[in-house]
Amino acid sequence: MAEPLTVTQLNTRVRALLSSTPDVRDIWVSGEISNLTRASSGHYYFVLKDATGEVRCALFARAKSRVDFEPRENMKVLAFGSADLYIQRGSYQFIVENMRRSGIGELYQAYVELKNRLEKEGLFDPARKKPLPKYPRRIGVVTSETGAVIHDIITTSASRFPADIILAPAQVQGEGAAATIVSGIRLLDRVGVDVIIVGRGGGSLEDLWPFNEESVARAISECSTPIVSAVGHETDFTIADFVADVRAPTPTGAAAIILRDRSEIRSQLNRDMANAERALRSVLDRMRASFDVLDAKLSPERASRDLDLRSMSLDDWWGRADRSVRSGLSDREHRLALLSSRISVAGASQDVDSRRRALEDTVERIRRAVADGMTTRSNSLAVLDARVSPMAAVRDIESRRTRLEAIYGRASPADAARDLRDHRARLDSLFARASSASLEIYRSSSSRLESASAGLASLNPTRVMERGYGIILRPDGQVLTSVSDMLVGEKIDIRLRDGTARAAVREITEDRR
Amino acid sequence: MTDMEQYRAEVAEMTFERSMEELEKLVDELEQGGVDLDRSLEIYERAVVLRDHCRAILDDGQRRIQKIMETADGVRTEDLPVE
Repeated sequence: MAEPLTVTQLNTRVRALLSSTPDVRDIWVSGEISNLTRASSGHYYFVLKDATGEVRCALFARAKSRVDFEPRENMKVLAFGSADLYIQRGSYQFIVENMRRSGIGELYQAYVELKNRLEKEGLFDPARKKPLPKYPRRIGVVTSETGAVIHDIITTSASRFPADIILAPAQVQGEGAAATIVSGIRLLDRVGVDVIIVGRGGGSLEDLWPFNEESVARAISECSTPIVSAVGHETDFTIADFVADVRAPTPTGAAAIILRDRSEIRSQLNRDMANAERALRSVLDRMRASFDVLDAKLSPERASRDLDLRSMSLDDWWGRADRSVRSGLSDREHRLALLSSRISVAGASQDVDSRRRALEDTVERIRRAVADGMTTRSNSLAVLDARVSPMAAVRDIESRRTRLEAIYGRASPADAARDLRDHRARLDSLFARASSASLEIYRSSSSRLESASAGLASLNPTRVMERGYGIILRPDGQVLTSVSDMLVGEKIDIRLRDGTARAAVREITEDRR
Repeated sequence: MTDMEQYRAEVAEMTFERSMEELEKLVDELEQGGVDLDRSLEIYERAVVLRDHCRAILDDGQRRIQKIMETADGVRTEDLPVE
């Protein structure tokens, strides 16, 4: 009988055997986690089992750091590692080096089920998403009071649009976390903030679990304040992310989405003001251009040409009035001379008298019409005068200059003031010139009116009749001025200074010219 | 109270967002042209009032950082120590 082995020696031999056997080294094993315990050292111990067997497993803290999810009871996994013997116990265990989720774990299944249900219900509908305020003054945050999230948000927002931050502390992982998140959202919604950030830092699916719970999803969708979710890292989407109005990848990202950069806003303000200034300048340039047009219109050459034209038409008008009166009178004079040599004045004198009065009326009407015409012209000249009054213009320009200078106080006071002084000086002189030209035509017009009236007085037909002239009329009252208008045998009326005589034409002799 | 004083008082009550919108509207109107000198000056003066208002808000570094809680006595707010 060979020397017996100690228990420890046996266990050591079996351990050596196991570790030299490739069949149980660096292999993948599939199973479901149970009896999960997490030691304070960070090591995980659990049993992997399938329908018919089980094996003890150890996931040491060092290896756990390579696992990107939080192991949970009943989770189906693929574990990579080697069989080893725990010498003290004489039991073998599987030392896990890495681990993957296999199939759909229960949590994931619950996540998918809830996501599908809420999606069908329309909770993720883009039409439900509320727009974020452009410039929020109060930001509510639902997160842990001690985590990095609130710190990141406070730091990031410091250089951005100034907004108050109101934290509703919540527990962001573990049992009961969802309830604190829900009441935080409701509290902020009730007290009134412009936007709410709901978030936590990255973590495993299990860490993020409260944000996958239905109560949180419902609280987000019922909240009347826009909500930005900032949960986990860039790749993981929680149900809260789907329901939130906007999803930010990180808390820092949330602050950046909600609050515009302060210097960016400043440059926009400056851009707006620069555009306003440019537009105002172009208005001023346009004004300057129209001053130039006005200038051209009111240039002395142009003004005197205008006035010449006016006085020409006035002359013309006068000439025509004058000529028609004169020609009417000279015709009548001629006719009367003819008649008086032929017929007895006495019988016709009464008729002629009434005709004379009619003629006087006519002449009076003409004179009044001429005077009216002059008055109308005077009035329109007066209006023009008022419009171009240099005093009113100067007052107007003065008030504009004051306003402009006040506005341009910062921009370019010197430019604006000089511009305006130039304009004012130019307008002053223009208006002065235009106004004195207007006065001039006034004066010459009224003196012309006086001399024309004097001329008319000397042509007064009453006086002509006094000298023995008469007027020949048809019985219907039409004045006859030519023998070609008469017929032999026709009755005619002869109107003299004191009456009218009825006569008949006996013979017509046309003068040779 | 002049129109401009009244406008100043109105702007003082405006939110930042309203002020920015108003400012952009005025600039648009001015840029589109077709306004006379008086209106142009008025628009510009108003724009300056709005810009000053916005700047004052931006430059106001005073932001509050608070914590809000529901207690048995109701909602309680206290300053959150930071930095």
